[in-house]
Amino acid sequence: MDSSKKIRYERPLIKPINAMMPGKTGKDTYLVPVLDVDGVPVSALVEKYGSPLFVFSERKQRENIQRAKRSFTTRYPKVHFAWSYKTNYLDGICKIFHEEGSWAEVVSGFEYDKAIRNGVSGNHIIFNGPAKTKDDLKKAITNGSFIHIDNMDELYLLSDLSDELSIKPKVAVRVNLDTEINQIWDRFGFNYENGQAWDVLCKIVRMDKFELKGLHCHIGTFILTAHAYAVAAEKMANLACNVKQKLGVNIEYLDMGGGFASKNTLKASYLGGADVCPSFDEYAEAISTAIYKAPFKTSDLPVLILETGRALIDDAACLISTVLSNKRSSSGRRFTIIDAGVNMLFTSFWYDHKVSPAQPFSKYYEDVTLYGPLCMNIDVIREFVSLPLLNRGDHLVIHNVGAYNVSQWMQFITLRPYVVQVSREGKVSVLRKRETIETIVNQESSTTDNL
Amino acid sequence: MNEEIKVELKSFVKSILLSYAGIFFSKSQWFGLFLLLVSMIYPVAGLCGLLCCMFVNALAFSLSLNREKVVSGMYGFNAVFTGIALGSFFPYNSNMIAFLFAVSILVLFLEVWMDDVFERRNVPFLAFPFLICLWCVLLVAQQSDDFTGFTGLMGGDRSILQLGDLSLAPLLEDGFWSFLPTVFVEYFKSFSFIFFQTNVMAGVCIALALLFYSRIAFSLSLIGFIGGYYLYDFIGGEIYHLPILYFGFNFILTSIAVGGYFIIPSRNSYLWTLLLIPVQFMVILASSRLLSYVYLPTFSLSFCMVSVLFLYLLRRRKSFTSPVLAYYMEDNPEATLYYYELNKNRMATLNYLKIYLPFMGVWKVSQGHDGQYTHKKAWKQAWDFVVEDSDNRQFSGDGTHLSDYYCYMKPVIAPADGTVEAVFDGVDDNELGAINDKQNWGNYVVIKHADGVYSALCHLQKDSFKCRVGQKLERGEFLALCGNSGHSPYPHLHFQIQTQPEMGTQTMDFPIATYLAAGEVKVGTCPQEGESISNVESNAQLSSYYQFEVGDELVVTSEKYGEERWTVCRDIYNYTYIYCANKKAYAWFENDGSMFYFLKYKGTKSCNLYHFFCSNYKVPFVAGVWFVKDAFPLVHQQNGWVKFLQDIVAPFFSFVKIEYKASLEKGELRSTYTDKVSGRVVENVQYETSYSKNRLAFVSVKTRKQSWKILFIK
Repeated sequence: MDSSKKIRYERPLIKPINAMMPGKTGKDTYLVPVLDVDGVPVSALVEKYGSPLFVFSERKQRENIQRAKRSFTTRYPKVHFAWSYKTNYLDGICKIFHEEGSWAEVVSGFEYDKAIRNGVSGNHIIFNGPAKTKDDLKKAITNGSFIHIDNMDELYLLSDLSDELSIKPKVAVRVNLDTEINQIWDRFGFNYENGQAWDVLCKIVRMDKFELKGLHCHIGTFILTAHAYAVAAEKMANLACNVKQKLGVNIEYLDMGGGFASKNTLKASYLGGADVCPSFDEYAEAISTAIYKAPFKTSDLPVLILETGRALIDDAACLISTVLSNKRSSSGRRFTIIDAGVNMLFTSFWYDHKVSPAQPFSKYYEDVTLYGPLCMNIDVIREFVSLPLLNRGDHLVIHNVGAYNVSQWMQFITLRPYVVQVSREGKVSVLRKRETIETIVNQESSTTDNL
Repeated sequence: MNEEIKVELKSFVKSILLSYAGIFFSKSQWFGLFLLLVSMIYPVAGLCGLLCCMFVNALAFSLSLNREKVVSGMYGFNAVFTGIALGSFFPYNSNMIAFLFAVSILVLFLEVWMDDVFERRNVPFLAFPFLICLWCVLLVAQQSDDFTGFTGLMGGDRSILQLGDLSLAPLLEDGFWSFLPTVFVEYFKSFSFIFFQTNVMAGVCIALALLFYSRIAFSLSLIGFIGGYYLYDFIGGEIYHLPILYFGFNFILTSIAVGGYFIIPSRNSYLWTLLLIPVQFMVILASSRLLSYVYLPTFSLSFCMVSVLFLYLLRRRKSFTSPVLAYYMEDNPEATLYYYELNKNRMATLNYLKIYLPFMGVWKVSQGHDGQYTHKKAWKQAWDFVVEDSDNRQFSGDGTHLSDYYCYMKPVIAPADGTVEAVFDGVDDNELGAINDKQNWGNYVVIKHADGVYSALCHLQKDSFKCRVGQKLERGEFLALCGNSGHSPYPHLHFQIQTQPEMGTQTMDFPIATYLAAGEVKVGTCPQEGESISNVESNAQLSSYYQFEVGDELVVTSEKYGEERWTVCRDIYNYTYIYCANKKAYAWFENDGSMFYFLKYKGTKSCNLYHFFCSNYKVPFVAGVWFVKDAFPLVHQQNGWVKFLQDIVAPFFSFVKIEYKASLEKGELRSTYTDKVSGRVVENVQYETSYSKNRLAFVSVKTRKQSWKILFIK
């Protein structure tokens, strides 16, 4: 043994031996240390950018979108993906998806401007959401973007703007429908079953102030059954056929929204996400088969638009974190406190994120609760997880954090960390710099306005 | 009324000039005018030629013969020969003029009749009417002893030849040209002899004009004549007994006709030009001997006979290999060649039914035509398709299950409209790596698209068929799922176009109408092994900018060329074109619903229309991001010297390329015109076509030196 090298300290552990049959979820916790992200050592990343640190993989993002496209385009002749900005609107991320041919799907004026800034042409932007301002809409109309109408007030506002600008806005109708699952997102758009959607379509056609281009639905989020999409697609396709037959307007596209599940494990889920979530192939098969059932002529099939975000990016990022301290609760449970909390890992509220150690370890595991660094009781990353015996300063890699975290994170108690990306060639680039105190105080002001 | 007369007069003048130009198969009025002037070196003979030509054309017009044919000079050029011959051989007097008119009518009779007879066999009548008329005239003149009225016709001192007596020594009066080798003096004289002159100067003028008109025609005339001259020398021809002057022009005209005009100029056409020289000699010697009994000269008999016989032979071939007959003659042989070379690829798709790819999404050709595994012999023209990811793997995971393969159970669709001819179902999928030799094709479907055009899709999955025999199919309709049945060790789709409805009959080399390969829109080509390809998605928006209807008027302006008015017209061949009245420029275009492309441009290059032609040479209506490549005909070469050299060597090889590349980015068409000489870029023009609501907005042009914008005002 090399006497100069210090042997890693491992705290003592007393564990009762339970000799029993393997459970339904397997026998042992089986962890593999994650020493690198796409070939870049975790230690090097932490040394350069500090901890915590979001690391995105360009390779994985491209793999995902290509797989999704392959699943859909080999089954349906006209498919477009629109990158969901709210999932992750960092320029470096959006650009990858735009390079892969995705349009942009935005839900606010801010996201709209960001898409324009990223070089997306106006007619490749889909403008969704319940809160579009007058100025947002004006911009979208003049740029020829597709505006998905959420409610009647928006319809009347658009009608006024159509007169004001003398342009016929390109619109689609957001439809909500019952897909035989628990979620019914009826707060967005017009209902299919009770005829609201049909009424508004009739109205739009009769007003003759719009170019009715498509129908949109978004049945929910993290949908674990592809069948729900089959139900939705069939209803949407039939609605489109009715519009064509009865109102004489050719619906050019069906936007099936997003909601595809990623490989994460939901908190209530009994089995791991990777095992239960449908693949792109299953979603694609369900949707395309359902559309084919509708009486479209083969040459008149509408374009199929998909706005999936989560399933494309979630597993393309990890969060590197560092152990701050270990302690024991009053009941004897082991607590491990790390430097990444719910302030930057919002998704830990509903996922059991997979956590891997970032250094080699022995065969001994202990059940721990992983806490974040915030001075708040809710700051729990994992309530219950088996991990090797960690010391202060050890690194952990939290997986599947690509979706929503970097857009839903908050500046609470502490500042937000670096976000970097490993390119296909193994080069690291900064997507977003770590915040400094100036980032915060520069926005503060003490001037008085007389209103 | 006045306007009408003007148009009539114009047509008439054109018919005259083209009659002259037609002697060398040209369509250039300037060339015709030049030849007319050269013919006037002996004014009487020249005037007789003109008179005869005018009379024949006027007669043809007034008798309502096919106007196009008359204007093209088709009936005039025999008249020119006849008139000049009469003017040259006979004294100029009233008898002769009256005789000239009589002969003219005979010329027209013969022409119309021969046109019909020869057209049925698809060969030209060349100078046969002239030959027959002239022989008639000479036979009549021989009877001047019996008919006193004809005496005036003979014995004039202007007669440069004593007909039927071919032993007369040629008049080598042109001492000035003695510095030239005899062969060239004879060459030039032969040119002038076409107008029954023996003037070297006239010959030089005609030769130069010919060179100006066509480098290929000139080089052919030189090769033909020199070949004939030395063959004559080789067989020991006695120049004082049978002067080469009397028949040399046959070699010149045959070479031009056979080597470059009726046949696409090529290595083979040049070879045939040489091979036909001894044949012509035989005809010349035999006919002059035979005709000498009736005191008639052989004249252009060998040119007419040999050319027509050779063309007739070529038309009787069972397959159209080299030398290739020219079906449409452009302005000169090199233009015909350039357009032929370009269009044989560019327009190839017009010969075929439009058949597309039988799948959705991007698939890779794992085995192409003449493949190394199974695409051999009668079944060599087939494709195997698989789906691959960006790491070139055909499966996810470890690929131990059929379902790991990306292509497995993916829909297979009808590649074109048609009827289901045969469906074979019931063969189980093989295990990975196993092959079913008993039922080679596995489960398959055969679709009839037209008589003799069937497509076959094989190795499909059992029980996945959604079509039945006799069903009418629309392109893109679902047929079945890709499987692993038959001779298929791993899931893939086999696709072939065959001649018969039975599975496994002879395959055909059939192109795919349009597809995308690595971003490039390919039109009418055959996918190659290793290519990743997909069907294109049509772009209705882009298509809407190019809906030019006949009668549409466009107003276009630019700082450089000013305002122009364009009209969309249709010609009698049903081709549509844009006509710029201001600059008298024409741009023929085609819009087949899936693509807008220009066929040809005629007119000045200093014109907005020319730049529109260059910038929008080919626009496929394809959605997404793509680029397309094409080539311009080499007639557009700007540099005169480069063009001159290229024209000369064109039948053998080409060192000039004019490339077109266009791409659609952010709703704008960016195109480039690149002129490459021996691979070096000598000219590069970049265009950007922008659109506004439902129409073309402007084209911005950027050359090396300057840039400007062409605005579509409408």
